[in-house]
Formats: sequence, C-alpha cells, structure tokens
Amino acid sequence: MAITKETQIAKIEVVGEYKAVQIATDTVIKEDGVELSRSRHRKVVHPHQDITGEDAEVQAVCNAVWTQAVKDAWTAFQAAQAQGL
Amino acid sequence: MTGILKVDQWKDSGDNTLMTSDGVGNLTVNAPFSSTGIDDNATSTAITIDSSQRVGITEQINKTVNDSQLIIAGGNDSNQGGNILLYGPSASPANTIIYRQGTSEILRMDSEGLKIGGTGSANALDDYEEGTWTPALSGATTTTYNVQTGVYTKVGRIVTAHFELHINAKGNGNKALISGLPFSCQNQNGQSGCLGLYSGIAKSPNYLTMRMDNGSSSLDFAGTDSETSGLSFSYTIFDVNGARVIGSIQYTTS
Repeated sequence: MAITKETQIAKIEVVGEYKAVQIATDTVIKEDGVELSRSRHRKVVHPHQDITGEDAEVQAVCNAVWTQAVKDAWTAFQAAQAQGL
Repeated sequence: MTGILKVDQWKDSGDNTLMTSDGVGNLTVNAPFSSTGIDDNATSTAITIDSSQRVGITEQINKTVNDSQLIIAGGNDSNQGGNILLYGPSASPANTIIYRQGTSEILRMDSEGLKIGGTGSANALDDYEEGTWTPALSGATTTTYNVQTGVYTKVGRIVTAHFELHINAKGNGNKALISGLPFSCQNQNGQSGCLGLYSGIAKSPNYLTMRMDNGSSSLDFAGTDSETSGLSFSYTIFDVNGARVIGSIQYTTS
C-alpha cells in the first residue's frame, strides 16, 4: 500500500483589466494510485510581483498577459488608489 | 395449435429471422415468461419495471416507497457508489435539464449553471469552491508566524474569506497590508471587512478597519492613533512580536 501526495495546478485564470492571475493548486492524496482526497489552495499574482518562484506554466501565462502597458496601467492604478485614501 | 418451438441451429449466419404464420411477424407468448431482459419479473435488475409501470435503472424499485416512479442509482444497489451522468437534449432548450412541479419550473441546469428562481443569466449559480489561502504581511519576507491560516468559500461571484495571523517574530514588514487573498476583488468601489480580534499590535489604534481595493488581492488596514489622523497607516501595525489578528471579508470577484 503506497500513500502518495502530489500537487497539481488546477486552474490558471486571468481576470480583470489589470490581468490579475488567479492560481488554484490542488493537493491530491492517493493510495496505490487511487485518489483518496483533494484539497484546494488559491493565490493571486499581480503585475508588480516577482513570479520567479511560480510554476513555469504560471510564469508563461503571466509573461504573456503582463505587457508593459498592463504593468504601467496597474502601477498607475495602485498609485491612484493610494492617493484616494 | 400448441407446442414448443425450439431452434437449435440457424441454417446459416444470414438466416436468423423467425417468421410467424400470421404473415405480419408478431410473436405472442401465452405461457409464463421468464427472461434476463426487461419485464416485471426479470432475473436481472439493471433495468426493472414493476406492475405499476414504475421504472428502476440500476436500482430495484423500493416497494416501500409508493410514490417512486423512476429510480436511477449509480450502483447495483443503494449501498454501492457510482456515477450518474445526465445529458440534456440537443433540441431547444439545448443541453438543458429542467425540474418541474406540475407546470411550475423549480430549477434548471444549462450551460450557464444551476438556475433557481428564473431562467436568465442573473439566476445562474455557475461556481462553488472552498479551499485555503495563505495570509501574509505584505512585504514582510523575514517575518515568522505561529499561526498563518486562511480559508475561503466562493459561491457564484461572492467570496467569503477568513484568516488568522499570529506573529512569532517580527521581520521587515513595512505596510499595514495582508496579502494572499484567494481571488482578486472585482468591485469598482472595493469592499470592506471586519476584524474579529486584534491584540499586541503596534501603537494601539483607536479603531481599525480594513478594505480591499478593486483589482487587488490584499487587505489594507486603516484607523487612527496618536500619530495618525488620516485613514491609512504609514507603518506596519501587525509586524510585532506576538501580534495576533483574526478577521474575515466578503467580496465580489469575477
């Protein structure tokens, strides 16, 4: 009887004007290859963030959608939000 | 004329039609009939029909439930699991499964989700998800935590997120921000949340509120204290040895 634990990227979603990338990661526990349980963990990365530690698939999506125009717009938007406080 | 018709061997592989003497092709069985197919006393139960025209598919009809008309089960008895797949028809309304009571539609499932209370897009529940997220003091890469937990439930576009942080040793936090929310906020006016508990934080603010800006996945905290009369803290309020904060927020995402 072999119990294994693996993580799988379940979803990569690009949302909103500023291309936030939502990442859903599933942790799957299996016994002899048969799935016993699955739990989900989520996070979001934004254009100003360092993504070097992310999965290659996530990096590819981020690099595809985070154009310089998107990064500039996100930076400007954050500055505007801060000024509005 | 009575008797037994017994066919032991077809003449050849192409000669497998049994014709009856009435010239129409009907075959009538008058004697007690037993088969492994579909009838009211079949010996197999993959599909059963009882004398009241009730139908069971992979589940024998429960004689004690008199109003059972159609039973579909994912195993060969009620104690076994299995999958049941229902496919809507291709005709209009396409790929739709509707449940009615009398002529009143109660719910439907179609390509937009589960619809209750109406048939428009606004009535569609298209997502449900629950899971965990990891709250962290934004920018605090060296801070360590005794407790660092977050859970969420998403129903449609509404996310309810709970979190708890208990700082073990302060690090390099520089803002009053908690990051790591599971979905980005998609509400032009942002959202506000509530803190259930905070203790041991910096400078004892008179009050403490939090909000989540449109497009972000962080909680920004505000309040007043002896040094700050505005709404936003210019220093970290949570990156303190032993500080603890518990809270929740409900917000809209896409």
